[in-house]
Amino acid sequence: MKPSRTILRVDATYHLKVQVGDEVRCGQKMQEVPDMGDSPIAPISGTIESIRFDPTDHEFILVITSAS
Amino acid sequence: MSRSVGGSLIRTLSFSITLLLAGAHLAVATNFTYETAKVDPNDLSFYQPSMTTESYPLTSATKVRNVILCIGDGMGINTVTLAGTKVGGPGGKLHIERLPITGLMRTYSANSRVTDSAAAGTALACGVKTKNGMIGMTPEGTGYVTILEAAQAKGMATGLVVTCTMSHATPASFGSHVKSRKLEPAIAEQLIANRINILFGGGRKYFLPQSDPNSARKDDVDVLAQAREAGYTYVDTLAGLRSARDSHALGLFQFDALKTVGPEPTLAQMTQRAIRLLRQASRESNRGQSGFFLMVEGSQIDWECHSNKVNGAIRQTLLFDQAVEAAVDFALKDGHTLVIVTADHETGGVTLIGGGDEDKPDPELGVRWSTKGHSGGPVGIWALGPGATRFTGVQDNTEVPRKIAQLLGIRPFPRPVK
Repeated sequence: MKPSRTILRVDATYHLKVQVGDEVRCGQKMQEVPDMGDSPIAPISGTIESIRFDPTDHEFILVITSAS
Repeated sequence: MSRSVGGSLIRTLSFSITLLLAGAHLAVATNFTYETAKVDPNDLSFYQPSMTTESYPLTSATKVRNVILCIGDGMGINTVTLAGTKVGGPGGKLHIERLPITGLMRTYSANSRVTDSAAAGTALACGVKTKNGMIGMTPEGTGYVTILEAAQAKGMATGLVVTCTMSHATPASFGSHVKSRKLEPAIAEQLIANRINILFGGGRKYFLPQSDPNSARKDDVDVLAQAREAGYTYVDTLAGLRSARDSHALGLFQFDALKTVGPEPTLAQMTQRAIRLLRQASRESNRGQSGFFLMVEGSQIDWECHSNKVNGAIRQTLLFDQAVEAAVDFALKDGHTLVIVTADHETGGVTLIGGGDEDKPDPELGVRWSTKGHSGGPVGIWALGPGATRFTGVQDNTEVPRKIAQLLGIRPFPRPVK
């Protein structure tokens, strides 16, 4: 069995609904994006392994690990 | 911009559980990450607190000749209080807080109660609301003249001083017009084409052609060469900054954002030099004594708050406060300089309720973060000098450049780009 890691980059302006260690399901909303209605969602089910801020693109880089 | 599951930039990588591969993969992720490892956030020895908490004096002068707009990116009111408490105890004040006029500013954007720096910068520069991510134009794509461009058209010298890349969202909002803040190579070109007198900050990588190994461009445009052809003096060291004499100076002190630690210049040093050069340029202009407009940004307060780093946020706020002190020192001597200090938005949802934090600040500071993103509450605005009283009360961010325009006799404003 191979684990898979998915990197999700989202705009750092908005509030993250997840934190490191959280279990997420595929399709789960990852952010509160007020007034805009296009919240990014988890592309896979798994665990949030890390969250880092990238100032160049003003984005959060989320690493989601799942056993696939 | 937010990315959904179908977005092209989502990168899914599967691989075996070898530590080597895992390590290699994580290295890819961290290459993009803002790191403060080389800076000790607890070392605040660079900062000289105020000897008093008394307000700076109000002025009786009415003529505004120069404007210095200082923006703390992501600097909420509680962040200011936190930094003041760190250096002076519960009653301690930053230089920012000693400015005699105080107000509040709303920050929402055209499409969200929670703004980003592009929309907020556009509001502060152009006097119009736009969507998050857009620079110097309305949501429909109509470019609007920035207060810097309007001042320049009036014959004033102009400058931008930042600790981020020179083409990042806030400085971009004052000197360019693009549909997305991510178009930093194009923004770099526009800043030079606009002949802004002084450009001090980071981001050399956007000024170099792709043939240069340190370039972040995907074309052969050499913006540094364009700048030199346009008459700019280019500097990239503290010594170079100190020796700059000309009316047009481009200082890019890192390939990426500034590291905010020596040997590169501090924000205060860049601000002091910018003021000196702008004053000289305004005296040498065709119209003489035409004045100057300078925007100074403490860019990395936001970045530390996104990472919920208390001591990093304090350090960046103090570095910004040093620059404000430099602006105030000049303004008090000059007598015809309006200094405005504000933030584009708040970051981190900082609350001061007691308790610890992940990077273990002084327990008495008692900081809690409510988010890693921005928040939508009002930010503070402080002012000193002629016209300062216009900035009291609660105002929208679009009102700030409109009031500056009125004080400088710029009409009409706001106005679309021709």
